Amino acid sequence: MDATAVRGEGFNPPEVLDLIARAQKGDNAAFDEIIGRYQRYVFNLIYQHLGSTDELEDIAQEVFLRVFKFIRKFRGDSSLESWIYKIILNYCRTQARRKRFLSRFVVSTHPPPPQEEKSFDIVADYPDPTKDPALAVEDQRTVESILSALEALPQIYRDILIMREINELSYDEIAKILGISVGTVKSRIARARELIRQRVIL
Amino acid sequence: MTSSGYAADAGESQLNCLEFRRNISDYLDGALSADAKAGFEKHADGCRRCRAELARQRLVRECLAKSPKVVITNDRFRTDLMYRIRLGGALFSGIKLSYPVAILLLAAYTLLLAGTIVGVASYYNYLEQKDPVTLIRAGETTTFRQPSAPPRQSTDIQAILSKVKGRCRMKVNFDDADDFFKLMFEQYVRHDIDASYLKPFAEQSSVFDGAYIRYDLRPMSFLEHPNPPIIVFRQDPRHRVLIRVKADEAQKLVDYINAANKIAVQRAAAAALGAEGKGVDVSAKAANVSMNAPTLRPDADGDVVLELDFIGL
Repeated sequence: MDATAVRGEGFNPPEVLDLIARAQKGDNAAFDEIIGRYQRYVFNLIYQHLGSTDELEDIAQEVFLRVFKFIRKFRGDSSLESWIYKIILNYCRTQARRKRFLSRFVVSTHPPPPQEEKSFDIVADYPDPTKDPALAVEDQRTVESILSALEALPQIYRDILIMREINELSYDEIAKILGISVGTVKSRIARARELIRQRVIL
Repeated sequence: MTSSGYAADAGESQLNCLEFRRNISDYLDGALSADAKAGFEKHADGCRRCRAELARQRLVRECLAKSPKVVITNDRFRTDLMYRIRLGGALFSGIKLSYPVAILLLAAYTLLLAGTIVGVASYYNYLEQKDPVTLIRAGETTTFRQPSAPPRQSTDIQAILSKVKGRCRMKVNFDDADDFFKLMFEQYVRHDIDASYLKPFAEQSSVFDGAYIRYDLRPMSFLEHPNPPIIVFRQDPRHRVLIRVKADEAQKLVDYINAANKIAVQRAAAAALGAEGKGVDVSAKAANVSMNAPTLRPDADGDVVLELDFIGL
């Protein structure tokens, strides 16, 4: 195991360290394993942060290609997940900026082309089938209104809330990924929660 | 509603409601110290509103956690991506460039590119010399001046005219037509007559086309042409052109100019003066113009200077 991998020992389990070391040497089998291991994670993060399934697979491909392109530069001072998360966030932000910019000039009049067979599905664990149907429908409405309030939040609050509430990252992890202090993370999360509460009647 | 209103509800709680609400986020994340947590929970027990707010924040949290998830249903993505990676890897595997090699390759590439450009340019130059190429090609339109734009430098026209080797069509703003024609005339005299005025000269016919005058130019010998170009100067009452030619060619040029002027007057008499409609031959404007007989004056180099006076009537 090389020095890079040893440095990341505190953040990544041994099998991941081994995987990283092999990927850094350009081992295709390691790439394959990384895709298998993190595919769901990457798809979920892209879906959560972009809020749509359009081009999900294309974006995931680009993200993985970036991961493999830059894996030699991975210094191991965070978990591989956090590092991938950072790449995804950067990519999603660039995409969102590009879309906003292009939308000023391009008006799409064509519906998106029909997709071939998808390699993923979107599942929700609401409404709860074990509940009284009337209550379950009420629950579903609440969840949907909160999720649409999340969607409407400014990006810095939406991103941080997704990281904390949906992906359950710690303050430290969020601070590292976003490159901000833990204090800022805390206050931003509190503000995001307050904003979402103001926008939903409960 | 004020925080003191909530505090009254809370009885003896040490925290007031505002502080409680500030701490909700940290409490939910388990980021409060043991003391602060105890104070927080004590306030919640005693304050109905704050308890309700805490419950709502918990609900928001639970709902966010229920956000829909992506599940992978087949291996297609993985297979496709690995195919792409293997393909890329196969193309570039084993190529590891050190900086010096990369710089050398870049330099070689730049040289190759520069060489190609120079080669192509030389080839075109060679072709042009071998078989003069019309740079302003048939059907191409050059606007001498846009109606609202300031006049271009005459060098532009010189450049254009010196390249007329095949038939071309030029479009000139009506108001600029006279200036343009003066320049064109001077240009031909300077470039062609000086070497040999029997070199191809442009047959031109000019047609008024709305706001523009369209000149159709075609190379040919001007002396052989039955309908030589007409020189029209409308705006300047008097314009003098000095032409330097070889002494033994001077008389030929004078003859030509006299002939051209004669024809211009003849044609002008037949044409309707001042017609503005499309398709009218603007040489009609020559009716306004006469030209004194050119005067010849030897210069210090043994050449002859022709002085041409044009008089607008």
